[in-house]
Amino acid sequence: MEMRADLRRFAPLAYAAGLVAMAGTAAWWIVGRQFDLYVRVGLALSILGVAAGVLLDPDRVRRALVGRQMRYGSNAFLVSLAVFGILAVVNYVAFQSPTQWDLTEDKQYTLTPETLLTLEGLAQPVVLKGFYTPDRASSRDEVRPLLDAYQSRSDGMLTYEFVDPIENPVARDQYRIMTDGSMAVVVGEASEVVSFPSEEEITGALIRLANPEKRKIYFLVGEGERDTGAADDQGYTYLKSALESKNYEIATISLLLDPDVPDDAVAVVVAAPTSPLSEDEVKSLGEYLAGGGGLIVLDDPTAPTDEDKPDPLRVYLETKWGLRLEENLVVDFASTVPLAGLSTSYGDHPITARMRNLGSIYPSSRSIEVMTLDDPSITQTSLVLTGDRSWGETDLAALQDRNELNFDAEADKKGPLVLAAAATDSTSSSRVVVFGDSDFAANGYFFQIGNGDILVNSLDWASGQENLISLTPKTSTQRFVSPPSTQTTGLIFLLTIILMPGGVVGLGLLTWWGRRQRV
Amino acid sequence: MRNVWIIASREFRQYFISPVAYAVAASIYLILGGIFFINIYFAIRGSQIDPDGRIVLGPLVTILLFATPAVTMRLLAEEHRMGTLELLLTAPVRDWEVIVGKWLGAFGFMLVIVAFTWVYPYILNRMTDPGIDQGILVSAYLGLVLLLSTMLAIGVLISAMFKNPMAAFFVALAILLVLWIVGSLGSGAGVGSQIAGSLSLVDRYYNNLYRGIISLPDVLYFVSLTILALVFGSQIVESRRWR
Repeated sequence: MEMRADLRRFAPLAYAAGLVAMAGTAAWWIVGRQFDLYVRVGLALSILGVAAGVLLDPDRVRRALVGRQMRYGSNAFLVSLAVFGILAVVNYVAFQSPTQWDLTEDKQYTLTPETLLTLEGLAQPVVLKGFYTPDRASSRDEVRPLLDAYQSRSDGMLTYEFVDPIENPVARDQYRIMTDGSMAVVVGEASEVVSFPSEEEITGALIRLANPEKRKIYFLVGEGERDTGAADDQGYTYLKSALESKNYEIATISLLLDPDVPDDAVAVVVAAPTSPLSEDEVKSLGEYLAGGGGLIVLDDPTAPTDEDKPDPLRVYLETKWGLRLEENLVVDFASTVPLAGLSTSYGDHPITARMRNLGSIYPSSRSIEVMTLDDPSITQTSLVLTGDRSWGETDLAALQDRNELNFDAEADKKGPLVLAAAATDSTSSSRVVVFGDSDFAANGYFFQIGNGDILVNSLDWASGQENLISLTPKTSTQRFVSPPSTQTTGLIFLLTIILMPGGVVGLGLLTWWGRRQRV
Repeated sequence: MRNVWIIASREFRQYFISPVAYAVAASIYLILGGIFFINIYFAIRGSQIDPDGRIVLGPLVTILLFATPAVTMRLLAEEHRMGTLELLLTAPVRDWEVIVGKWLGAFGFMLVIVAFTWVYPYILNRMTDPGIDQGILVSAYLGLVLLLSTMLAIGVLISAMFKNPMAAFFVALAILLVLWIVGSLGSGAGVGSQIAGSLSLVDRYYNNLYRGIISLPDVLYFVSLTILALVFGSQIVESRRWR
């Protein structure tokens, strides 16, 4: 008995040793994050310590287990656990199918009838994957109510998740995500990338994915055009990837070899030929457009040497579409580099409506003159405009030989200049977009402000993909706070700064005074 | 249930003779009034004010982080220290009635303080043509009330654990602060990060309710957290009987 009592004194020591071992093991594991030898030895030591404690003083353990404290304690623990469990389940169920009510007066978080119809017609499960780095957490939170609305109205067919593209580069590459804050709309094996997630864009993508059809864009080759396969700064690989992420198929075509534009072409791109196109090629393009196609022309300022021969493509654009590419180089002192045109404003057009206040920059561009035509079926729109501090420099020789930039009021056209324009023919419903520059879309500039977006938008429009759906427009109430008069301001000062806090202090003092009197 | 009302109304009246309550109320109105007036002041000097009724709600939520522990710190800790808790527990009152009554009293007092902050959106509404978006205002205030109820319940729970009101204040503040900033861990995309993000008091508030969306999961979250804190609190009070 003496012996047992002596041993019992060591029991707390054994428990303490076990706890120390446990804490040490936990610390080691937190730092190392590996189940290595030290962790195993540490775990063994902690178990041994606790076991030794129990063996050294078994009576105490028995008392603790069947004692009054244990009985009440475990009871309290079970009640708490049960409440916690019930609440956790209720919350989890609600979280899985969020129900929400939009209280905003303009119903800005309520989906339009068109979207609801699209959601009703979903045949396959859809996953929206938003790719946001933690830097873009605020945009992610901004879009979350919209995605909640999609999910809650989809009858379980649509779910969404957020992916960090830095943490998960495999998913980023799988869905061809190019910019932070884009979203992949995934239906089965197919997917489409939306660069600015909004109701219009997401619903548009859902409709396109529900009606998969071949959408092929041909890039003209044969005259030294920009290369969609070249990954250098001059190449167009970023444009190609951006279009492929929107399910366009990209191919090249040489009209010198085969004069007919294939039937499956939704648009043809002529990207800065270094030598002029032949009459026959332009004729082929004209015939293609007469059948209702889309054409994108990206031009560049011509070197001063080959001014004399007329370029058949430019002649065609001027006579048929009234878009004259002017023989000049846009100089813009609003941009950091004077030879790069900076767009400060856009015309009102479906292409620019999606630019969301993003500017765009055009290194070495020529300007475009939008001419009035006799043909009433042609409608033109100036898309990209520079500011007042720009002009179209015509004396390119002076610039090249003497590096001089002078505004010549007689010869040079003063800004705002048009750097890109769109035109549509209502009889054939063909569409043309002309840019005075081709560098802005090359890899070196593609991600500069809105450069990539305006070209991708142009291709969407030219190929007739931009408004498969037009959502019922939401009214947004214009609210205006009229500045208060001096008296009103004084009244507000009196109320908010003096009366409210002062009243509380006064009441407090009064209470204190009253209680002191009573005592 | 009657006991709850008796305890609640006693606590509620208690606040109106407590210097801490007056200090909390006065500082809330002074800070909010200052922020509101600065906005108005800049408006007469030409800058545009947002026609947004939530003009003082953001700062108010931040102040509440500090104000709620101050309001709840003495609720049970003081009774415990003064030895009056034993009296209360021997009275024919259930433990949960004590906890819920204390919480309800504090809730009522804070609601009175919050109710007066309607002055600011009211003034702004008078200045705005055609008035501010009142749907957003209602939703944002509903969220604020839910947030407040949760924070007070946590404060009551912590107060039940301590004998010293100051200790209760700092522990409650620390817990609210953790629930506050845990959302920034939620900026990642993993499962753990999502759970952390969905636990955040402020994120839950700002993501939907503050924007004008009453979302059932968010409402349930605040209500659940309130219930949970009150149940834990009653268990702690009950444990005084057998410890």
